[in-house]
Amino acid sequence: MEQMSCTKKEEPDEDANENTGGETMVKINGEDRNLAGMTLTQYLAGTNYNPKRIAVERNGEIVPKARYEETIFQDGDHIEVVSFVGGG
Amino acid sequence: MFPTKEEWNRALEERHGKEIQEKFAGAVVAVCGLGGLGSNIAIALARAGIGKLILIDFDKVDLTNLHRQQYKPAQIGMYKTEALAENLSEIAPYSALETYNIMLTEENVPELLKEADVICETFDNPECKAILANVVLSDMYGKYLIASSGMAGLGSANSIQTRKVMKYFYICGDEISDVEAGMGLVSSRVMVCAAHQAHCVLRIIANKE
Repeated sequence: MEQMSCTKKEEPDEDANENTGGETMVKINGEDRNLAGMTLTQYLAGTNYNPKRIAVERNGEIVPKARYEETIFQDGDHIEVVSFVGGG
Repeated sequence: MFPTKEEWNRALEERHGKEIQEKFAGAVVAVCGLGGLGSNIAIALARAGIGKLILIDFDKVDLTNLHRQQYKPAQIGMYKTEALAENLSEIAPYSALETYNIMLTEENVPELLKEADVICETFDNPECKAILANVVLSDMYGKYLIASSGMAGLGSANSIQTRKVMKYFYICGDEISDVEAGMGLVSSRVMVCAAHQAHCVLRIIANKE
């Protein structure tokens, strides 16, 4: 009879934060927030930011607009949302 | 008697020192938008001896510009690129000028700005500001962007600041005073913001940033 192991070894998951439901502490514009598994698009939807008037920096790099939806917050992320106002 | 280029450069060297002046002379700076901020920045940089200025604006000089923009009543109706080039030829004639009478888009930015070491964003429209910032910092990474946000009204000039957001990305203004919100732009406060931007450009080129 074939021996079967009791526990299945889990593959490391790139979206581990999304699945564990654990805390993802992110610093956004200086404020510590728990944003487990949220995408940048989801986060912005819950704010007053106008997505057409912003630039977003994450860990020292600008996040291209086309990647907002696939950008998932990771623990320890430093995010800055720069919001432009009119006049020049 | 009108100074020769050599006399002009020598005078600048005496001001800034040879080392810094050579850095200024070797720099290429793009000024995107030639309104209240852009026209003031261009004049400051040309006076400082920046080697080449890329000046971009699609618009014409209008009476309603003259309260803050560096144009003259006799230039109403002229393209801003031409009017500014004319003014610079009289004020600080030895910076090379490349002018584009064109509206900047996501598509044409990389080609038009490819030679620039530093790029000044001086638009009125906040969506255009955001577009330029995102294109320059994503697709042209390595070029400095000095953006602008918030200089309207008669609030204190002391709240206009230069902030470094990240490597290559600076923003000047108070980041709050929107031209939509009330008073509109005043020459002096706009000049403060323009000076912040021009000064940031010079500091970067002189390796002080």
